[in-house]
Amino acid sequence: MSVTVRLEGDCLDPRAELGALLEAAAGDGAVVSFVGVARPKSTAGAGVDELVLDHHPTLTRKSLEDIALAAAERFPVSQVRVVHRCGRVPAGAPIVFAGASAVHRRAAFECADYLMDRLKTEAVFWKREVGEAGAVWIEPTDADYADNGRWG
Amino acid sequence: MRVTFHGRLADLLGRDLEVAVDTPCTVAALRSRMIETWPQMAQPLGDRRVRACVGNKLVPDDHPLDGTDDVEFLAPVSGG
Repeated sequence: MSVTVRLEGDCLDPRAELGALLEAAAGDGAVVSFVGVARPKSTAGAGVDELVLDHHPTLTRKSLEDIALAAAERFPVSQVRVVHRCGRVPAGAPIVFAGASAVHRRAAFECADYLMDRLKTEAVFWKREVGEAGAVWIEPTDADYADNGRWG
Repeated sequence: MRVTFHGRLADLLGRDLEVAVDTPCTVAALRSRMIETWPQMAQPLGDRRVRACVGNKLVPDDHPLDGTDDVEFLAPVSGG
């Protein structure tokens, strides 16, 4: 079992993260990864140039670690990998990589799903969309909370 | 006492400020003192979802403070 968590201020390369996960997953039968990308439009339809993710010097990383460790405990997986951007993320650029590997596919799918549901509501970030509408603070949606509620 | 705001709270008075408050006190007393000084903080600081953090730990409103504590107030998080 191995858990990797990183908070990146400048760049997130999903291909490199998937490559590292595949390499670490030698012997497993399933590797699942999710990449979250900054959308160029707000939910109201306004153009978004960038997403700005403010973070806390200690609590943000701890929240990522807590979520990754909980996922590793909950599912029969051998690798959990979470890499999250902070700072200014241009529209179209990756924000988060969440991946897992396991002997069988179901655990890897469920682990990645769980990671993202918790990250979307509980990760300690304060996000704002910057674009046509100025700077707009973003909070989790009702759908995000409902998704997270599925895991009990 | 030095106070730092995170998230949308920082839009109102800036990210950091110094608050004159008699110590020892509690987080609740600090909130009240700030609301007296800056009435525009009444709504955001009255929001129960706005948590206080001292020494990198979330603390309840009855947490005791002395003059050397740095206190952070965290707006509800956006998630990742």
